[in-house]
Amino acid sequence: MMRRLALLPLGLLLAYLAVVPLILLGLASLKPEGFLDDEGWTFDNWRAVYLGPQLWPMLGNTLVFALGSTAAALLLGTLLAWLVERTDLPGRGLVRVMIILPLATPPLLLAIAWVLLLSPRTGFFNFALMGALGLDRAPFDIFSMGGMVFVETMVLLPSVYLMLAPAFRNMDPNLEHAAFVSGASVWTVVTRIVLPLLRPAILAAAVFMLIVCLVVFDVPGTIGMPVRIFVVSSLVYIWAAESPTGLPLYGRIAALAVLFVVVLLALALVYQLLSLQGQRFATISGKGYRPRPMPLGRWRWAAFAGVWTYFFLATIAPLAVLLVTSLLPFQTRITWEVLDRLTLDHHLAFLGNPRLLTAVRNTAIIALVSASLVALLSLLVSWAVVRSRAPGRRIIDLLAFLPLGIPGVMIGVGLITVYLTFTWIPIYGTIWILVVAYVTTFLAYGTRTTNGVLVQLHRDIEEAASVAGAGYWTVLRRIVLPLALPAVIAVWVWVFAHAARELSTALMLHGRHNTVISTLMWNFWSGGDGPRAAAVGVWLMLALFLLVGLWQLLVRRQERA
Amino acid sequence: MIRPTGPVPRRLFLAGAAALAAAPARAQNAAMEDLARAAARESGPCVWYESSPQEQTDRVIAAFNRRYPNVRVQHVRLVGGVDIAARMVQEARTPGQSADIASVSADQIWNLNRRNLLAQVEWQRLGASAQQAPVPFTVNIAAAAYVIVYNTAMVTGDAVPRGWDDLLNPRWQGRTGTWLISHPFAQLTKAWDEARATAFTERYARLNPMLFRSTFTLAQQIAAGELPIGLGLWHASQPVIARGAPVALVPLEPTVTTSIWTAVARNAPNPNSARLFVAWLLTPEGARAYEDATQRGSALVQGTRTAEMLAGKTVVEYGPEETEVFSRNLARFNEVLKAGGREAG
Repeated sequence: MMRRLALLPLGLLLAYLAVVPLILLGLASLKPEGFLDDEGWTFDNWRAVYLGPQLWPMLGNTLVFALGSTAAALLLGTLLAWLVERTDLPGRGLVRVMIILPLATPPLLLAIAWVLLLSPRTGFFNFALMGALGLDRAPFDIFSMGGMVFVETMVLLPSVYLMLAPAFRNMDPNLEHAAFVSGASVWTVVTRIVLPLLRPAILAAAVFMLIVCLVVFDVPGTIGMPVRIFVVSSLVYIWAAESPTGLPLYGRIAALAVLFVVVLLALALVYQLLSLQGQRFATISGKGYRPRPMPLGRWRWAAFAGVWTYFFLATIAPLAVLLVTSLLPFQTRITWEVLDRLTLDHHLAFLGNPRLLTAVRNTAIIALVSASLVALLSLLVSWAVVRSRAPGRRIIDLLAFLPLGIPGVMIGVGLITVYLTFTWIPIYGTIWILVVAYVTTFLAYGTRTTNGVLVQLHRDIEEAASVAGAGYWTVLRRIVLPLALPAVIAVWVWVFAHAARELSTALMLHGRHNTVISTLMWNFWSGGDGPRAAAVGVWLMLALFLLVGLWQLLVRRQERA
Repeated sequence: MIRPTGPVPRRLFLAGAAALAAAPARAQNAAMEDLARAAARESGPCVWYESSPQEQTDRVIAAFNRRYPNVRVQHVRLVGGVDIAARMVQEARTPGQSADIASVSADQIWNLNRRNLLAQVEWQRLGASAQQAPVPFTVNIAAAAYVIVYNTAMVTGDAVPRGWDDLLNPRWQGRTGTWLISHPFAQLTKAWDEARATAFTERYARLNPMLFRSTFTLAQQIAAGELPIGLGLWHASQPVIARGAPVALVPLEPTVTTSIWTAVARNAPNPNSARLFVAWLLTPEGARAYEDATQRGSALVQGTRTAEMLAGKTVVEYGPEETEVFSRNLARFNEVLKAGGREAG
């Protein structure tokens, strides 16, 4: 009974975070212009979205983009997680940092960097290859569906890795060992033992990435839109920011978002059916084990080279091109000649900006608080969902996941409406409204990750503790938390990096007192100062690189201990 | 012209005429001084929603504070006019939370007035001309002018464009670009008949232009050599030109503009500060400060670079009261651009 009551505040909090925007979404879709104060009710927005000419032609592109990016990120992310966590890949500590580092790159900057590298007319790689191979036309064109999928894969890959690595790490190697002893090949072990055991974590990552791909706009907006490759999120952008009526078409966006939410619910239910089925996936039991890495043999160094190729494409090349651009007076094709014109002006201007200190402080507070809250709530939600038998636990799981399907612009509209109405919670225009937004949005990632790990914990450990007299919170604090700690820390770092680099919601909720680094960067970019925006991006990435590096140092120290 | 008649001494007549001419100016000055005193008593700061980077508006506010040091103005940058208009609508539900001033385009200001969110002000009593303040709910503080932007290293000799028709040259097939939103094309229907503007837009769209989210990005791409030519905005090209990029601009006849309409919110927490600041933006001093900072100037204020640039040109733009027609054209032309010249359904 007590356990069930303990779920109540958690459920109420999640309902507040998820259901309020959802209700506002429904109401907005039925208002003539999508504002709650509009007079009258109408189905015009639904008709315009689902019977109009704009949506359906974009669905094909959207599916190709979302499925392509998700599949590629999942495939590569799973491979990398397996290589790092389960094999004798050389320099695994360093490789782990290399995989996660791109997390620090804002997707907008990554897209811009790849335009600078692979544009058919000015791309650095294209020109280098044309010169080296004697080609008369550029071999790559970033302005294509392939380009969009490639860059989005780079954006998603660290997240996939972070979701899967703890699950790989927690797998009892005795199962693989037994299979090898019985004469199974590597392929058989991977397909018959490793992947089936990791199904909850892989499914969670797949569902999460698919929904993310449906709503993201940075990459499609920068790479696809200039050449008329429109996806559904392009439509959301046009209706929100460039509506021909002079006011945003929130009603239509809300009606469209219902489609996202339905897709998300369907995927979430599939995930629940396939993964939350008792003890089938539990691999951590009361019996101790020592991780034994699988020998890669002659593939060891080939795998290491592959990881380096990824690191080059995801981090070194984009960072280098942004660094050079930040040192140029204006954005131009990078050649040996332009290196004569390098200047530190943009970096000095950024470092001397009077709003810098405020923006750094705001960013740090928002990222710290959001990351800590999401990590804590994710653990509590997952424990409730995976462990308790209370009615409504699956609803709690859905509530934590739902906001992912709501476009950021509608979360922003919802939060503005809520906190302009509940003025006794004075957070409108402050950093705290951003914290609420990020906790709401990023909780979906946090719970997918911690769900995947808690499913692996066998009940016998907790039951043994209970038999020995440990209470509910003692079991959580002394048993569950230490075992789930790698995943909880991974969630914390992921949310910190995303909250620090996030732009769309920060712009939507920008007010008098909540300037952050990403909006400062946007200030430069949208004001025609691309190199100065690149300078801000370089500093932001270096700061986040430092954080990720420190985290990995701590992990290594913990592993050695 | 009035001439002295009868026994009135010439010197007395001239003094009287000068006094008559100066009377409105004195009245305006007095009205501004009254407003400044009332503004200084407000708790402030007066919040101004506008879409220019803060580094630019800092300079405008600094110039204002040199004239009125006791009146505080704080600029909040939102992403664009649509965002600003939406925020004004949402904030109107909560007294005390509204911004004081909004600067947006004609269609957005029209929507805000339609929702009864704007203060009606006798702007002409504060010195505005009839052109600057054609209606009581808003004033025109500046305009962004469309121009042809080209890369001087890639476009030389006969290829250098001179006007609208040169944009349609087949040599630019797949090598030109413009804003994703068809503002300039939709505005052209005001100067040309609708059929001609539609045909022009369709022919341009068939050149397969790259469509950018911002004309600043377009200018950057032309500076970088990604595209040789595009249809962009004068002010959005200035940052790359100022840094030495090989970019030049060609003014167009007719010139299409997008004006920045500024209004005071009906529930403005600091209404006197707001009116004072907006009225100051209309003065030659304010207009020059705004133009120097943002590169967008007023064609209605003599002495600005924009007025010089547009002198003798046919300037076309739909006003706030023509929003319905403009929005319809804009939606249609957006689809033409997106469909690559094929009229979309």
